[in-house]
Amino acid sequence: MREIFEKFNWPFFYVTAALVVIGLVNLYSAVYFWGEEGTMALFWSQLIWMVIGLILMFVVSFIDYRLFHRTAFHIYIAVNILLLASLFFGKVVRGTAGWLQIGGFSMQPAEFAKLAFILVAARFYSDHPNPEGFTLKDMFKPAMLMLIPFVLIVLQGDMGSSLFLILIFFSVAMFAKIRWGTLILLVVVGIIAAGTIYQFGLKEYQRSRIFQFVHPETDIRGSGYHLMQSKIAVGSGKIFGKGYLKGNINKLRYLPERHTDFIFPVFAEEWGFLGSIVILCLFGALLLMGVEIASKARERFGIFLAIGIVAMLFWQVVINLGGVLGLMPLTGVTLPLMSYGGSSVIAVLIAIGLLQNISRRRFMF
Amino acid sequence: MELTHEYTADVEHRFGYAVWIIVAFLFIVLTRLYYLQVLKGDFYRYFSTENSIKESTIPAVRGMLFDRRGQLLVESRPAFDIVIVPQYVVDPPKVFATLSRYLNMPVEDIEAKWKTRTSQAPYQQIVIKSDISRDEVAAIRVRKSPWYNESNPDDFRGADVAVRYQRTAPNGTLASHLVGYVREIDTNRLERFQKLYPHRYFIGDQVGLRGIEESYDLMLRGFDGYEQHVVDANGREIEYEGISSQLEEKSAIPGDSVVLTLDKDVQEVAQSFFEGTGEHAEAVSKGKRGAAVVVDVREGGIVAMYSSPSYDLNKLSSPEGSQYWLEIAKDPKGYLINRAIQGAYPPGSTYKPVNAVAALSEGVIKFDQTVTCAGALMYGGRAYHCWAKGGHGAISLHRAIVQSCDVYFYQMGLRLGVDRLAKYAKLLGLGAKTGIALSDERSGLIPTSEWKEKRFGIPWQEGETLSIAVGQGYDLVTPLQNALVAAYIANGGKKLRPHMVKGAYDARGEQVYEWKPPESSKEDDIPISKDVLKMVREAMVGVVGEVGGTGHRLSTYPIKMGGKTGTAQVVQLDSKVACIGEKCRDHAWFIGFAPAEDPQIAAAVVVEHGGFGASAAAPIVGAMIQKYFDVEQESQSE
Repeated sequence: MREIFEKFNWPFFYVTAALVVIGLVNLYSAVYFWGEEGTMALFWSQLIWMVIGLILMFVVSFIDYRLFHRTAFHIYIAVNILLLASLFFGKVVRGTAGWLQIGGFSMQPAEFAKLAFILVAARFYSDHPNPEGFTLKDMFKPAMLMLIPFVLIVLQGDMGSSLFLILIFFSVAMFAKIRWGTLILLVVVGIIAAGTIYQFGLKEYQRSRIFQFVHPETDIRGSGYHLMQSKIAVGSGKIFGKGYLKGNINKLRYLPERHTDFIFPVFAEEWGFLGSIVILCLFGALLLMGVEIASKARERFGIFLAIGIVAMLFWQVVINLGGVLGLMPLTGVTLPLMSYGGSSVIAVLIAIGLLQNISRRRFMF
Repeated sequence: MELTHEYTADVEHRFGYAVWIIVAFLFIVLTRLYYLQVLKGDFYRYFSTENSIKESTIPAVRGMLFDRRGQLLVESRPAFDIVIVPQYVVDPPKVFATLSRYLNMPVEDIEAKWKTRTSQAPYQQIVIKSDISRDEVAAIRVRKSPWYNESNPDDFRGADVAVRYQRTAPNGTLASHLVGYVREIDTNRLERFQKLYPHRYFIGDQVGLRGIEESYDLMLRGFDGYEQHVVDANGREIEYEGISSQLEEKSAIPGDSVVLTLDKDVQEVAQSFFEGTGEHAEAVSKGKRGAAVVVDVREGGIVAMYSSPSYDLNKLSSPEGSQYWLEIAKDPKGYLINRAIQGAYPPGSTYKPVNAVAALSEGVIKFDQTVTCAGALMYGGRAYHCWAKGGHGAISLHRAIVQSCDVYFYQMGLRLGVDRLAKYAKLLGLGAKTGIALSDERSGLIPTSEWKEKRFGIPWQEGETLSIAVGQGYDLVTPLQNALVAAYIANGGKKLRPHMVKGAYDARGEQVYEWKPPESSKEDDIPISKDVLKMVREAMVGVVGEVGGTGHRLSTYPIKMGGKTGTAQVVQLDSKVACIGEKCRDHAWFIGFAPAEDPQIAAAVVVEHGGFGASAAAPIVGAMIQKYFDVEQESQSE
């Protein structure tokens, strides 16, 4: 038992725990309104998801992760079946059809599809070491593995999640060394394929969803106003913030989607520049420790798995913060561990459990 | 060297890149946060405490509608509404009382509207009263003071005057059914459209219903713009240094204007015949229900489409529009029905050209072969009468059409049988929707033996063939379908796609849409011999041109026309029950085309309970056709 605790990556766990706690404390503020009954139910269910997620994180970190090397494809196929099921039987929430109702609760298989793709991609790159760099022919298999869940998620109308599959795919591929010519060719082929599907394979409303995603500025009555309010919320926090539960832009309901996409402005308004630095440092630590875990792993599967997970978390943080701070278009992507969402919380904590696992295993070979 | 799972040398040096990318990103975010929170912190704090950003919509002007020669049919004029923006209302009961005072409106009505705020964002406005008068605008503008004072009985905080555009037509009843109207979007349609066209439709938007306004709504509506203002806690707009660069503004993009294939002057002829105005005050059709359609036989453009009774678009778009709509919707005269596409009538004798096409094509008779008409045909122990009691004697196809001999076509019906007759009726477009871009088109009915078996469970009776052979019984056609039958006979069977829009132009006058005939080949034409159609066409020219023709009265017009009269029985001739009065008068039909030698347009008119086709319907067709060529000549000489 002592051995287990010694090998556990405690600093990495502390960073995770800090984000979970801050995330919950901040979500409480986001769903709390002045003078009116807030939507506290969201807070309590997030708390339950966090607890379940942490338990799963521990469970995952104590299984030999090479089990995932063997079962990667089974997991991948299972997740794709869930995606297909949610496409046909899914519930529509906020314009996205990717919600699968199982028993009393609903889940978003798209969140788990990212992890499943990382597993199969890690397995592919670890089984095919190629110091010369991958050619277009070599890339066929991983590209197909990415495209299947990608198409299913696009058909659900969840452009945000599908974008992540592409970003993770290219991040891992570049890490595994893809030849520059191949990379460019792949981008060109991808654009042509996407254009063809866009023109002939999609229904009118699916096309317009993609159009809106690529051109958020055409949503003339929405995004401009939201971004303005987001910037006011962040900026008005100044250096020390307005104090916990005292962010009036959030509390007076000027901020849209406070508990999901715009969770960071809620925090920045109440905790100011100093608080924001803390959050930034925590995310930075999480990502950099992830890279360190990858670099210390003893074998290829572990390395690619860790890099894939870091890429997933990295892009999510980049796109969310970039959007709410007005550095790039708003896309409706959530912030890991801070935003409300059961599937996202659980998927992220499982991913962190996998990193913990890889970190532990390096002592065992 | 064997490459195994343990081989990691190739990726060793790449971890550094990952670290650098992450650090670079953190640095960028940190810089941004420093800019927003430290450098501009005071600026944003100012907005978050005393002031807020208000966003208002700049409505897009809805596109105009023009006829084919650029004459205005419908446009949008500015109208003023009183609105409430919930986020700025401090004392709701006081605001309601104030508005109630100046708008002459019960407080309860205002409260009912106020309740809708929960379903929308607090910065989105609620319309309290629309299209207020200039006096009311002035009354509120004058009293709305920038400062609020407890002792003041008025409280306008949150209330505002908003500009909107309202549809208006120079001639309100001219083409209401074809044009359609706009109303506030209902929740069903909103839900459906928001899914189909994201970000194009919002709660409270005006949306086209019926007619062109509905079918071309996306084109006509344009894109609303918006502008942001800084307002203080009292809802008063304020100036703040350096803010203008931070505020966003997007001007509205006006809707495209649509040019129709319709001809305003030709349409006015139909309107005047049915409304009984001007020189047509004595017309038989005055005040009667019915419809008139004129179609271009070369391309299928709708030159005129009038349905009587018509409703007034200007009344409908006024604030009393809802009341007016309820009135006309409940009225038994059926104002809202577009009889040109939704009225299905027995075609009467206008069906005889169809019968003739079938008989010649199937070879059951030769063009010059005669049939003897003795004034009636005995069949199954019953006499089927010809309208000419004395009979027409030995008569061939040409004269049978010219004089509208029933017995000749009874015989053709018997020789063909119901199903062969139906085959040609369907080839000419009857019994099916024409596919014009208007909602709720009816398909009419062309019976077959199979249809009757299915519908009633009893086999077809030969006697019924005699009825349908002359367009009675089960046969039902819409005026648009009948106009197309005339068009096909006139153009030699060139398949037409009936359409109403010639093109669309954006606000800068650039053409953004042009109607083009779909890629078609010779095989796309109606598979009926051109010779057969020519024989029938010449017979129809005889109806007008030859002495004794049932439409001979139209020969007084300078333009030579062809046509066919029709008188559709409302009550069976053999009915034992005597039916007297207006309700039992026959429907009058006329279909026609012109010029006789090289047809360009075709028309169909039905006048419900109008009596004889020759006297009630034919004059309308004649006058519309003559008008069309008059204005053609005018525009050519210009």
